[in-house]
Formats: sequence, C-alpha cells, structure tokens
Amino acid sequence: MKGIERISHLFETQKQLAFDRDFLSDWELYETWDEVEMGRAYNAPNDYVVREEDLVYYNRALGETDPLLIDPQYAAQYSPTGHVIAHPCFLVAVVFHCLGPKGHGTWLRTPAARNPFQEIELHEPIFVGERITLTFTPVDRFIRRGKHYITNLNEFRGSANTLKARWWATLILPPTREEISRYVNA
Amino acid sequence: MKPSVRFCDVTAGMQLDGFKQDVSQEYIDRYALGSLDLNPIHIDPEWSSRAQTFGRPKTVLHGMATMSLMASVVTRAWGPTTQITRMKSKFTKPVWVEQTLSFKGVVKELHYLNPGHNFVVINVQATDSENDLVGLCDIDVRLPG
Repeated sequence: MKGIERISHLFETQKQLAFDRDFLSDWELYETWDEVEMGRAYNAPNDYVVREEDLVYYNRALGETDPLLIDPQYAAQYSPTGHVIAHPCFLVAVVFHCLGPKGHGTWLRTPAARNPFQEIELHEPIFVGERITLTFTPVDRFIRRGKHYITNLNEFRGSANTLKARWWATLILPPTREEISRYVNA
Repeated sequence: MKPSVRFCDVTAGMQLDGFKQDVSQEYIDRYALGSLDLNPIHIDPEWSSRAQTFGRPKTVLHGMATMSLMASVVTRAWGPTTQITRMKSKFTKPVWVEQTLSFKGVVKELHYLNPGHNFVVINVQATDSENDLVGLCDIDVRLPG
C-alpha cells in the first residue's frame, strides 16, 4: 500500500482533505535544481487562512500537551488571543499549502530532498482567522562537497500586509530530473 | 503575550528542562499531516525501503519536526507564549523511524539592549538513541525585564 493511502485515515482538517497529497504522482512537473531562476520573487498561488484546527493538529502531532496549544475551549478562556497558540515552526504547513503541486518553488516537494539547515525570523505571531500570503525568492544555489543546495527566502505577510516572518529555507536536492527519477522509480 | 520568565531571572549556562520523544511511524505520519509535508521518504515505508535515500531502508522524521521539537524545549520550559524571534538550526544526521530523541537546552548568551528588547540565545541539541547529535538550534528569545 502506498504511503499516502496508508495514512488516509489520519486526514482531519479541511486543508488536509483538500491538499494535493501524492508527492510522487506529479514529480515531473516539479522545478529542479538546475531550472530555478535565481533572484526572482514569486507570489505563491495559494493564501493560507489560519483555522484553529490547523494549529491544534500541528501542536498535537508534535506531542504538545499544554492546553493553550491543543484545547480550543481552554484557550478561549485563558489564551491572550482567545484561541490556541501557533507553534513557532507552524510556518512549514503554511509553505506547503501555499506552494501547491505545480509551478515555481515545487522543488520543495522533491522526493529524496534532504534538509541540511534552516533559519527563521519571527516578527509577529500567527493568529487564528488571519489570511497569510507567501512570497518566495530563490536567493542561493550552490554545490558543497558534491551536494546541490538551494535556498528560498520565504516572506510571510498577514492580513494588513504586516511582515509576520522570514524563512531562509534550504534543501539538498537531486540535481537533475533524471536523478530524481531514479529515486521516484526505485 | 507575556512569557513566564524575565530577562533578569536568566543567567548564562542556565539549563532548560529537556525531554525525550519516541519517533514511531505514527508519530512521523501525524507530523506529515500537520505540516503537509507528505514526502514519501517520511510516510512510505515500502518506497523508502527501495530508494534508501539516506542509506538505510527506513523512513525518516522530518527535519522540521526535529526543529519544531528543539523550539518546544523553550516553549515547554518557559511557556507557549514565549516570544521566540529567531531560530537557526542545523541537522547533522537523519532521524530514522524507531529512534528516541533526547532534547536539552542551555542559555548561551544574554543580550542587553533595553527593556522590551533584551534577549537571550538558547542552544538546543537533539541526540538519537545512539547518542549521536542529530540537530542543533540557536534560538533567540525576547524577554521582559
């Protein structure tokens, strides 16, 4: 059974149910390391409207137990926002939702990609009900010890266009589509 | 949002309570759904067995899950509203399924700017069941007082 079918019973949130979930099916449409145009800024095709269920799922998945993170009823009474609190790394869900399965930035979905290092600046917390927009710019691409690195600067803005966060997201990728196909068809 | 710890309460070398996390396939699956990172290297044991992307026939935990748990060292010790302003992480070894990760944090630097902008840097390290370092993260935390 394919991995995505194996975990289908775990899908709960509206975004999970609507998400283009099979990373192996459209891999030929993903950008590859050698195709990315450096320095050009892109607006991600999807916005992210933050629902409380999104934050709760992420926090529960990590194993958080503080009711401010996982219990909407408790949070309604005691949280400074009136809702559960977003985890500082929740941005990863925003990125995958906003990028979608086709077009620029899809190298993020590459099978066999590796995560070497990351840097995130948090300017404002993420709140339930906000619409988050994502702009991303490929800012670096380099080879180190034979591995092909690529870095996007992701900028997240809130409903009033306020800067919420900046994330320099780096992955090591198979360098070409041919190389990716070797993994995909393993 | 007010964190439970004040700048004047913190000293260099101060330890934050750590924790352990078992990395089962279900744990990886749930993080995959939470983050929407459904890469087969995380959620497809059969494909991972064939592809052996990281040199072993196993799935691996998301690097961003390890980074999230490193951030959780701070938010679990000092409260979920603690104001983290920056995280810089490095991953040094893949986390294969069925490992147990151990996390610990220590205050590395205190930055005296002015009230409302003072911050500390906390270094968090994650090790696996073989006691190998799998990730480290410097986390800036703005504190009142």
